[in-house]
Amino acid sequence: MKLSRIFSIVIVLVVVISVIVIWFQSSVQDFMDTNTTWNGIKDFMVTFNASSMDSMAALETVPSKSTLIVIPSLKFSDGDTLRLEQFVQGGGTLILMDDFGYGNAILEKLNISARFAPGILLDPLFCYKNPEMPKIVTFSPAITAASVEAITLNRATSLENIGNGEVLASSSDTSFMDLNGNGSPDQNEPKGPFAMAVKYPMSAGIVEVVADPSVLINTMLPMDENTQFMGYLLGAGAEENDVYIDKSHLPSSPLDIAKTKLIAARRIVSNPFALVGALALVFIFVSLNATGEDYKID
Amino acid sequence: MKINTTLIALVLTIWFVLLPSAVSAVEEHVDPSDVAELYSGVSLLHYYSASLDLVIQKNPDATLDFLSVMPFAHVQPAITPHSQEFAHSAISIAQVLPELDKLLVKRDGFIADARMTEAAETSFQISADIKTALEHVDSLQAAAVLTGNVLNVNAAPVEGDLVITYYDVLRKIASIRAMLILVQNMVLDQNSNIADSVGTVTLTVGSGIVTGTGTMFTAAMVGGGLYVGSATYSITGFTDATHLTINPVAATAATSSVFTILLPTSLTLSITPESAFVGDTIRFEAMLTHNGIPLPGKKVTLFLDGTLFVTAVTGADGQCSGELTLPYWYISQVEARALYTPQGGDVGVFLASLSPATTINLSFYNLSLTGSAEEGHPGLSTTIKATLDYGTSPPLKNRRFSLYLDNSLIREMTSETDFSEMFVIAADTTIGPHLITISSPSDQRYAPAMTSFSININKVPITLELDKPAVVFIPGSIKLSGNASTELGPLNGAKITITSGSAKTTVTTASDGSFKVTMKTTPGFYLIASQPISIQVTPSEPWNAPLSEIQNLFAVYYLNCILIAVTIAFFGVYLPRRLGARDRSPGRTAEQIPGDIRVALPLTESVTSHDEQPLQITPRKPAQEQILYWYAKVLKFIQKLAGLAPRPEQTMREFAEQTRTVSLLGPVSRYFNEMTLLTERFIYSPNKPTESDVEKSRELAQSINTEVENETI
Repeated sequence: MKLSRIFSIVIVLVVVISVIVIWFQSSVQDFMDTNTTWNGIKDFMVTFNASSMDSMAALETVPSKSTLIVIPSLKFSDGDTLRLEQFVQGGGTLILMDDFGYGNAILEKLNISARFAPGILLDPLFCYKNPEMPKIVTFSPAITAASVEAITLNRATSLENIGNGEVLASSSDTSFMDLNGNGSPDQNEPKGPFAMAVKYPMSAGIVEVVADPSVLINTMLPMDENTQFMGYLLGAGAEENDVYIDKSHLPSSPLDIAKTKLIAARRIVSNPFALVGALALVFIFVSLNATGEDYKID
Repeated sequence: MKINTTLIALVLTIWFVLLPSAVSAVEEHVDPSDVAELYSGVSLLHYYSASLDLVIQKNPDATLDFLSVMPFAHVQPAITPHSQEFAHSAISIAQVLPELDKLLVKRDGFIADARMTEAAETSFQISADIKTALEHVDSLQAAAVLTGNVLNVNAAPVEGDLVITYYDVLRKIASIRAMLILVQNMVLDQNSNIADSVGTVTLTVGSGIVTGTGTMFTAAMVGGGLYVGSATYSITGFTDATHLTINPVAATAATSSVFTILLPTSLTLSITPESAFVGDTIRFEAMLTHNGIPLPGKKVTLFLDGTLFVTAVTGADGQCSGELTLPYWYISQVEARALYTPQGGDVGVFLASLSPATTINLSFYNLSLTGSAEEGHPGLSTTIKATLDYGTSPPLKNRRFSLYLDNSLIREMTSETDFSEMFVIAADTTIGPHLITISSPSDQRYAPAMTSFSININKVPITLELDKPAVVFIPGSIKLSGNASTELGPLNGAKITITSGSAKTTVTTASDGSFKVTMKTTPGFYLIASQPISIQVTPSEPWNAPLSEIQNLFAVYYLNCILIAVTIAFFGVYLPRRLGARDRSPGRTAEQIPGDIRVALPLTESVTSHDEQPLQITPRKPAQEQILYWYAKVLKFIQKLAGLAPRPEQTMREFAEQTRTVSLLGPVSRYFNEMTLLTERFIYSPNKPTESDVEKSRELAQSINTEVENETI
């Protein structure tokens, strides 16, 4: 067997195995919709029948009364922020969930006074196991009416400069902002309660700001009434309850990028003209191999 | 082996690239299952302390909010029952303290009015509440101490936050206890303040006899009250100037110079007539006495259902009378009472008294009002019907009625009988159920009337009849026509927007509701498909409901069909033939025979390019294998040349015989037959081929090739 033929077989095998692995291997990246492990949001996507959005440009095609969840782990371009603003002004509900990302830049562009505070919120008394996982037990009457008694967060921050926003959830009196990371409440560190979720009406739409996106991940969603809390946020302004989550501002692993490309490739291949093209290539390949041996003994 | 190694290396590389992302999630959050348990006793005690501040501030609501979340606190399991008990006790105390303040104010009011019985009852309630509150304080303290024990406060550094906070909690609990005891003492002090005594009175445990020293009891005191400390007794009998009989018997022995004896009063009330229409005037008479002796010059107040109405002063006979206009209260009965409260010099002498209740039956004319409304549409009028039923009462002329839609007044009118009223529903009224209210105010003897009922406001649905082609050929145009109407008639001037893919067109309906439209089709990547068209009807009238529906057309993308047919024909038929012809053309060279049989002479139909080249075979393989190789090559060649293929049941020899029947082959079939016999011999017999046999098979193949090259066939 010729070396070139061996190499071709290896290449084909590697490509096929890679495609199979990429297709079936679950993502392990934070907040990935295909990630079924502890830090993914697959359960959230299923529970709320949410769709992921690979580009903010797609925002222009969603129904005006939809709800969009944004976790700005990556910086927003001016164009993307403008799309967000237009989406909200058109009647959409934006749920901005952040802790240590680029949420403040978005709030500034949207002319909302609230800011994600620096430091991590710790609560040594109202928590799940550990101060890094604070329990929120104070809510607005509307959220209490939605049967939410407690939610658990995971390495959250807090919100400051609330302005005219409606505070939906607040941390307890025993919470504090750990600015120096020593885990103890120091003299110069702000003491609770702090606003954790705030709602702002904006033109025809609503902006809800939440100081921790981790409430969405698979291990956090079933804790306490996190699911009901998200249900309230998602239903705050949406008549048509289409829920989207922005994936384009989340860090992607090579696997996630490959998955996205693979899905796009499948979409292209499902096009009849692409099929015709592929068919043509097969014909050419087969024809070339079939006709070269005619009428000679070799 | 080489393939496997390469494969494994590549797959491992892919996994290596993909997997590192698993460990990049530590910044955003932690895995709850990996989190270590951490408890903070200091935080718990701080929380205890902060909650006690709210208790001391007498803020029961804030205390409740603060402590009701205690079940969510992350505390050691051994502390959980104590923290729950702490929260429960603190909440209870926080609720008692403001109530005590209210009771104290109430008690002061009773004392000011010389209503000593009520004052004494209130004092008793205050004492009982304080006792309950002190029990809660005991529980609170126990919970705090037990929490401290679990937290091992005694072993903690004295200057540490844990110890300091713990004792801060205990100090605040002590403050609450002191506050309650202070209130208790204040009640006792206030009892002393109302005393107006001369001399002393002595009570004996279990005895109903009171002995007075330096005082002068009288028979007029019977029916009055004796107040000693926080205890209240009724004076039931007079023995002599130094002895009275009381009820109940004394529970504790006491000799006190601080006591009060108030004289009893009695008040009666009569009303004439006891039944009257609202607005009528009635007469009342009241009489105030003390042990049957009329009390003149005392102010008596008449109340109707607790509301002060008129005040009168008793005359020399202790009586007072007057007239009272009954209020327009459209209720069947009211309760009248007269009240005497000592004022001025009477304070500290007489007890207040309240007459028994006298019931006054009130009459008035009642209207039973019912209403109904038809379904309404925004922008259109609807009718409200009202039915008036006065029963046996005379109807009220020009009775006023007000009609409301939800909370907005829509009409004011007068009517004596049943009526129907038409009104236009505002165009911007939201669809759904709304509330109609008809109300009529009271008018002297006529009680007010009101009724509410629901009206359903809906938009009229549109019926769309669409004539569409059975098949649409794309690209091309779609001709659509139809008619839009509602139950109210044809839809005039409605805007109909039809969207198909990226194509969009709008048309307005004629007065009979008809419309026609031709729109271009949008090219797609399909051959035959169902083409959805979206139709939106926007009526010009506010009462008609917009319509949006999607209908499907059967679409044939004929250009695509043609393109694909051409493509298939090109690649499937034309191109293979074309390429085949090229391969048969002169100048083509053959590949070298693979393996270790090197044939320098390419066995092609080109004579000029190869007939001088020698045949070179290096027989490194077994001779049989080489003969079979040449036979296979020749067989394949013959099959292509003659267009024949051996059938499954045919033997090699039978196939060779068959090739003889093909005249095209000529001498080639003879060579092939010879080669078949040669090959058969080594396949079906134990004979081993020799090098000369191999050479012969090669020569036969060469001969066949030469025949073809010489174009003898």
